Amino acid sequence: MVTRAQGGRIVIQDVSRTFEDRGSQVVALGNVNLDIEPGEFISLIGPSGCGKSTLLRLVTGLDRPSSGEIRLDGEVVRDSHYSRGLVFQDPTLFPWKSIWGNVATGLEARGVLKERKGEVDKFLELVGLKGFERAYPHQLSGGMAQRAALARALVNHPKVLLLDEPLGALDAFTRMNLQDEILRIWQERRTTMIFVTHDIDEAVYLSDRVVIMTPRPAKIKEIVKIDLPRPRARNGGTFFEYRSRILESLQLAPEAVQPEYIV
Amino acid sequence: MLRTMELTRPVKLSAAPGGRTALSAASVAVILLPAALLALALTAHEVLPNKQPVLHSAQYGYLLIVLFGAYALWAIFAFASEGAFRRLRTQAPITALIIGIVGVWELLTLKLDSLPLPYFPSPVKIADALIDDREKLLICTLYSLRLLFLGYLIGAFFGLVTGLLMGWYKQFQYWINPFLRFIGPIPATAWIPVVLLVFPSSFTASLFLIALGTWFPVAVMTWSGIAGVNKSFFEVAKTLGASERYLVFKVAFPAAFPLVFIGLFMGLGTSFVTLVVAEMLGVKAGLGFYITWAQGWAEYYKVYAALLIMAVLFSTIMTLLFKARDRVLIWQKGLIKW
Repeated sequence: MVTRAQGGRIVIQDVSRTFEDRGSQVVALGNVNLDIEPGEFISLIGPSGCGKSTLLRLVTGLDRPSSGEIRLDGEVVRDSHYSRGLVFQDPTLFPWKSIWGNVATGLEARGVLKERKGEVDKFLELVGLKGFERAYPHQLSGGMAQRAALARALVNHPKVLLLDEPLGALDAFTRMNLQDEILRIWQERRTTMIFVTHDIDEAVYLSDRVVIMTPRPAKIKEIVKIDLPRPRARNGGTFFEYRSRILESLQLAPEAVQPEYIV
Repeated sequence: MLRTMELTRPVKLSAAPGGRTALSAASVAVILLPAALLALALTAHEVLPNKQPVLHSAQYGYLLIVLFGAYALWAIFAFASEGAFRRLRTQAPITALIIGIVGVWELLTLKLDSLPLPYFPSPVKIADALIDDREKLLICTLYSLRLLFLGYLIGAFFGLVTGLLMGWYKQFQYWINPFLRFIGPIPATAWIPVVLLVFPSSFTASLFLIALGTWFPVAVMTWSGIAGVNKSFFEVAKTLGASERYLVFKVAFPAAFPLVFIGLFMGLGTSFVTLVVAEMLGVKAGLGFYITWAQGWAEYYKVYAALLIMAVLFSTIMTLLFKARDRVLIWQKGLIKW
């Protein structure tokens, strides 16, 4: 199989990001501190406007913090780098490239494709797209396109994989299916995962820790450690306890639930 | 699941009761129609007396015989496969119409002498020009092709470079945009008086005009293509380790290619116009020159001969451009067929 990649340690220190909007300062992210262990699976959850995508972009290096710094294995993140892979909600596959060409992009961009052609096939197999090498993106279903996007991000052996609501646009079945695939790939490769989602079940099912974020001001409210053995049952009692705890933290749970009985 | 590529639906044929498509009396009649018309045209050509002077009446007759033979061969081979038969069945009516038009045209001119000469010569007279003036026409065609290709390639190259720079660098767009906006829309041919003054020869002057006419649409479409590329493509490519060079040539350019192609297509159309006008006014060779020259002698049949060559030539070049596009844009859904 594919060679084992080592996950990286991410340290987010006093990071904030403000944007200027018609003269006034808008705080997109206020003073975030977070340590992520190598090989950890972290979910960022919260309503829209809570800065989770902003934080993700800062970690990729596509955007820079207004203050504070982010380190990967001790080195300050300044620019995008292939050690920090990214998968969007929209697979954004390059429509002019075949699936093979899409997955090969990272190696081609770094000028190492010739020596490492075999890796493209390995990763295509890893995500279950063997036999679709020559297909073009418009011929794939949403789930398959997202698998291809995953393989494209993994082919560079990133230390950290950042996923911005990668399953948000998929139907429930494809979604659960891909959650298991992501877990399998993660367990095999131990890449550090930062997973942005708005689905509480998904966060509890996948993560070692769930980072709950709230808007106005956009910051971390609470971090919930999910102490459940894997594979996790989606309907266990403890699973629901975690679920309601996160709901409460997000202030989405009704304050006093009165059971109703129909006689 | 893999969705199959969409193909244009073939024209439905009436199915025979046995399930085998098509050998109905109606489709056989349609297929025989072009042959019948060719035979009719040939008979009329041979039997009716010529009322206008032509030199190669016999050769024109041979041409009709060759065409008849070619169509007969096509029809025979079409019965070998169902696909070929369907194609023939689809193409037969339009083939018949074209044969009919040429036949009626010969009837009105050569056989009845009912259209004024020298403005409306017979097809046989045009064939005369193609046969007797073939050397001159060949040389003119080659001159036109040389001018067209050099001018088009230079214009397309600079158009691509300009568009790429404008789409990629804000600064470049700032400095070039006003010039593109003001100079671009002027028809290249309007520059002829100025250009003939500035350039040392009419050849270089025409080259410049064709290049200028091509440059504008290619530059504009490349620019808007590059500027409109989905920003997420760049972000994904950056996180995959792409350098700026890679972003420009391997992301921006292929993503913009559908629009770049429209620019190349428009530029080609403009280059045809510019070529002919430039040749009519300045250059001393080429099909445009030949047309003006023939007109000067009131030899309109030669004008039509040159027009015929242009039609074949330009439409072939257009087809080649579209073929190239189909190869490059194989990834695009629902391509327009040329």
